[in-house]
Order: sequence, then structure tokens, then C-alpha cells
Amino acid sequence: MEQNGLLSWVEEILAQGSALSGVSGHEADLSGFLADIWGVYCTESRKDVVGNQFFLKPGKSGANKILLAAHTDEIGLIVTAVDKNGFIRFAPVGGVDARALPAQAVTVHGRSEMTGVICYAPAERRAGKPVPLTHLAVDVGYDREEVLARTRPGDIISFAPEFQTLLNHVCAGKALDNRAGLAALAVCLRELSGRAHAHDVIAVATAQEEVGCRGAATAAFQAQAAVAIAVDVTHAQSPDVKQAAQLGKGPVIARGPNLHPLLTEYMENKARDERIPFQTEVAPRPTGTDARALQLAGAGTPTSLISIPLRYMHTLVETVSAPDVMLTGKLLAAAVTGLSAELEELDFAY
Amino acid sequence: MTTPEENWRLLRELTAAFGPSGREDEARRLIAAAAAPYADETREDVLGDLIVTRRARGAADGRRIMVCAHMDEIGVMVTHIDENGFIRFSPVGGFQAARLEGQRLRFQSGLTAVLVRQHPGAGQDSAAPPRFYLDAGLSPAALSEAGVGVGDMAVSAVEMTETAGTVSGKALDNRVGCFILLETLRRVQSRHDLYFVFSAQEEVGARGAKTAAFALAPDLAYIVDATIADDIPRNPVVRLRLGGGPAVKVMDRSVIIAPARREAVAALARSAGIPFQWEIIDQGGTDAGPVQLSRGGVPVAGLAVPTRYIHTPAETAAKADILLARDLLVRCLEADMD
Repeated sequence: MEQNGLLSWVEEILAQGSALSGVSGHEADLSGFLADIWGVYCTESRKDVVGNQFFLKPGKSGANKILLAAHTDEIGLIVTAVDKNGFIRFAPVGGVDARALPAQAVTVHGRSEMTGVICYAPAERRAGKPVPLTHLAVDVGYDREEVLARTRPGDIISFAPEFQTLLNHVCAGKALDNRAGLAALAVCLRELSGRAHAHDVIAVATAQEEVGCRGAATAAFQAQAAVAIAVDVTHAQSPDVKQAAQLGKGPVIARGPNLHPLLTEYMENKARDERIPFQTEVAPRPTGTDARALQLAGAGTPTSLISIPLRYMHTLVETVSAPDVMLTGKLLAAAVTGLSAELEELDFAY
Repeated sequence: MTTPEENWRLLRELTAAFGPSGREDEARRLIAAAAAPYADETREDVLGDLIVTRRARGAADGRRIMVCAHMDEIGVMVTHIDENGFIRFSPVGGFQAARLEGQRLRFQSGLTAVLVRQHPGAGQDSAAPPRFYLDAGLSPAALSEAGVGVGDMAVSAVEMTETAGTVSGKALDNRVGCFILLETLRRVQSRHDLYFVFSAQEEVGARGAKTAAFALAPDLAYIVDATIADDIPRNPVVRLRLGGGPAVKVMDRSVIIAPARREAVAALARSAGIPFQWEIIDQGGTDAGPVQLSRGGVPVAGLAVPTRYIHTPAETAAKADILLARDLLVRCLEADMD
């Protein structure tokens, strides 16, 4: 497929993925979407008890397994109570930025889906400080009785902003952390469908990353892969973020003790071979991604982390560049193909 | 609902047992003795977990269920004893000294000491965070003779009190869970193999449950714990109240329960006419987290007893909630598995 066709496919996936709801622990609504964008290039798929969804793309020899992991879940809210006036109180699921919430539209996933708006006391806003999350509520329009007939504690609330297509193949919307990663893996699987690769590829859409990289831990235990690559997003430069990757300058390869040095170097070399521009991110501590769980699950797995630059993380206008997503997918495909010859030669023992 | 007096005596004994994280031996002995008449096998692991097996009754279906309640409690560890016998300490688990000022703590040897807020002293910064120490009224030599030294632990010395409808005291978190497991063990007739785990070291990060789950590799797990009741003055939006029935876990800091699992528990409660409340807490984790993530993942559900003033010596719970939690747990364990 020529470049522009691939780019519009990526943009389409980002728009579709952003519109779906998959708050941590409640990722099931994304199954059909994953079947469409990954499943068509794979032979098998299955789910596990934590909510992970696995897809298998068999290799020629199948001697080893390569685990490619991108988390499906997104941050959101959960209903805790309905107050005497019918306003829905909530708690965060994952790292919700309370500053980004007031006056936003949401969907309450009750007995049926309801649109709501996040309300707050205007006087608090005038005080010049962010309104604490505990003072916010969701207004769906009904009084307490009617609201209680439609929702109850434990129901999920997802964000419902409009997806925006900006200029220069840049897109903005909610949950692009990590629908962008899912899109990159779709590109990878699509590229691989026309190429020979020796080892089995297990693409896993991991659950519950935003609440502590939980799905990745059980996924890696099950897969027992020879190598694992986490695909996620990372902060890109914005007016108040200077020390970060740049949007539109290609995938970001992380270096640090969470990532295996040999596998990291292999990824960098692959990018150079394929003339894919890449950026470097330094992660002195365990990364805030699935890579931290993949590395340590079971007896341990050599792990690499490839990230897509993203602005305004954990807000409702997460912003990514479609070419970055596409190049991330191409780098992954090149890495998988390249490992055909080299996996046996790499000795990952320190 | 009526219950023989001796049942609450068991809870009183359980709360009285000394058992801060990592020093659960006294609690473990008591629980093992109470479980013995109903156990097919009892063992300990290296973390200090007590694992009581009750094999399937009737037509066994070969499924294995882990039922877990932590037996450890919060406390303090002695870090230093000065030349006058004043004892400095570190918290073990979520022990908040400021909430126990003036209260008596008890060491495993039986010696008690009072928890004192240190006087800031003349000319000292009164805005500095307060410091605390324990005073047993003994010299360093006498403390040593009384079996108290650096590394020893102490817990609240409060004894459980009862009203017609409530119990109150220290370590209801989570001896109330241990009580429910023991009461369940006495009654349950299940086609599944049941593993009752009285886990160690939950209060310091759910450590015992992690290794127990790995060792048992169960098909399903139920976690039973105490949880925060917030039906207290000046709280306009109450999530969990005393007397509203057991809490069925939706989420805490360590776990999100699969919607189908919590609905399965809710359906059993509804069919038995047991009232329940949904538990959503955004502070504190439980054994449910590491058990769910053990090996390739374990389906988990959670039951909890709403408890006011958690992590104080005044933890208060409703007797009805405790008994209903037991009834619901029995039903969960006797139900067919999908």
C-alpha cells in the first residue's frame, strides 16, 4: 500500500479507536475493533481472565515467540454514589488529571448509555485553583430517583469529546494513549502479512495498564516469549513540556535499566537500516508502561519499549502525529522480520 | 438474626490475638486450632500463611477455589531504646501514631506501654511534625528482662467490646475476615476443593497472598476483608454504611474486579435475599490485587465487612453484616462454577 493510503488508514483507526470506550477493567467493547485491525492478519485470538486479548501470527519456523504488547485500556471514571440532588459522584480510574475535567462531556455506562456533563461549583473555579475531583459530579439531567433507576455504583464513566483532525496529519482526541499504540501494531501486522518471518508473533492488547500495568504481567507469564516489545505513547514537547520527544520526528526508543540493552541496540540499528527516523528517551527508573511488567513476569523477558510522541497526556485532547504511528509500525515489522536470522545469535544473558 | 454467644467469643479471641505483619504466629496458632475440626489438611508456608484445605464433598468437580483473609494487623516495631527506657518505633503497615496518642500498646511478651506525643521543647519549632515514643515505665535493662528489644513489635492493647448490633476494637481489619472464613469452613458443603488461606503480611503490601496464590494456582479466588464504612458525620455522600449488608468489591487501589465476577456474587446475594453494597475505594489495596495477577491471572471476587475508623483501636462493624457476609460466602463456595 502506498504511503498516503497507509496514513489515511492510520487516521481512520485513530478516529474509530478514540470513539470507543475501554476504561481499565472494562476493555471488552474493543474486541470487535481489535478483530478488524489486528485479527484479519492473524490466525487465532483468545482472551484471558484479566481482560487481555491475544492474537497469533505464526512464523515460518515458530521456533520462538515474539511478544508485541500495546495496552487497550484508557483512563476514565467510576460511579461511587448519587447525591440527594441526582448528581453522580465518581472516583478516578487511572491517572485522571482533575484540571482537565470541569465542563466536559461524558458517557455514563449505566443500564443504558447516558450522556452527561461534568459539573462543579463556579465559585470554586473563581478561587483560581483546580477544583478537587471530589467536588466534581456528573449531571445527566434527572433527579435522584430517576438517576438511581439508570445507574449504580460501579458503573463506568468514559469521556466523550469530539475527535479532531488537525493539520499536517495530526489528530487529537481522548484515549489516543494508547489507541495510537494499537494502530501502530495494526500497521506492523499489516506489513508482516506480506513478508516472511521465522518466529511466531503474539500481539497482545493488554488490559489495565493505566491502573498499574496489570494485564502485561499475566500476559507475559502466559506467553513465555523470547523477547517482548511494549508499544505505548510518551510525552511530546508542548508549551509547558520542554524536555521531551518531538511530535512528528518518529518513534521513540527508550534506554534504561527497564529495557534490555542488546534488544534496545537491535531496535536502534533496525531503524537506521530501514532509514526510519527515531528519537531516544532516557528512562532511569522502571518505565510507566507495560515494559516494567513484561521485563519481570515469570522468569523474566528481554524487553524493549517503543513509544509514539503524544502531547497533553491524560487529557481529552491527546494529540499524535499519524506519520509517527505509521513509522512505529514499520519499525516493529522490520524488527520482527530481522529477528528471523538473528534471534539465535543474540545472547541476552548479562 | 440470632447467633450463639460463643461465636462472638471467637471473634473476641481472634481480635485479641497478637499478630502484626510478619509476627502472625499467635494469631496463626489460634486460627489453626479453630479450623482443625473441619480441616482435611493444614499447612504453613515460608511467608507465614496458614493454608487450610477442605476437599470437595459429594461429586467432586475438580475445581479449586482459594478463599483468602489476611490475619495480620497493623502495629509498630521498636527501632531504638534510649538510656531512660523511652522506646522509639516505626509503623508496621498503616499505623498512624497521631490517632493513638495516650493509648496503650502491647508487646508479644505481654508488656504494655503507653504511646506519648513528644513535647516539642522550649524554643522548638511547634510547626514541625509531631514525634512519638512509647513509655513502659521501665529502664532499658528492665525492658530487656521483660522481653522487649529493638526489632520487637507492639499492637493496640484494646479489647473488643460488643453492643447488641455491633462489635468494636482493634484488628477487626481483618480478624473479622478470619472469623468469616472459620464460620464458613464449619458450614460449607462444596463440590469444589477449597483452600482457606489466612494470609500474612497484607498490611505491608499483600505479600503472603501473592505466594499462596502462586503455590495454589486456583481456578477462582474470593478475598474477604474489612473495608471503609464512611457513614460518619458531615459526609454528604455515603458509599458504605454499617448494617447495609456485606460489600461486594468493584474496585480498590490494587484491583478491578471483572464485571461478570462481581455480578455473579450479586446474583447469589439477590437469590438468597442477602442485601449488599458495592465497594469502590480509591485508597488502599488488598490481597485481591496480587492474587488476580498471580501466574497467568486468576479470576477474583471480593467480599468485605464495612468497618468504621479502620486502622484505629476503635474499628466498628455491624454483626449483621458479618453474618450476612458469611452466608454469602457459603453460597459462593457452594455454587456451581461456569
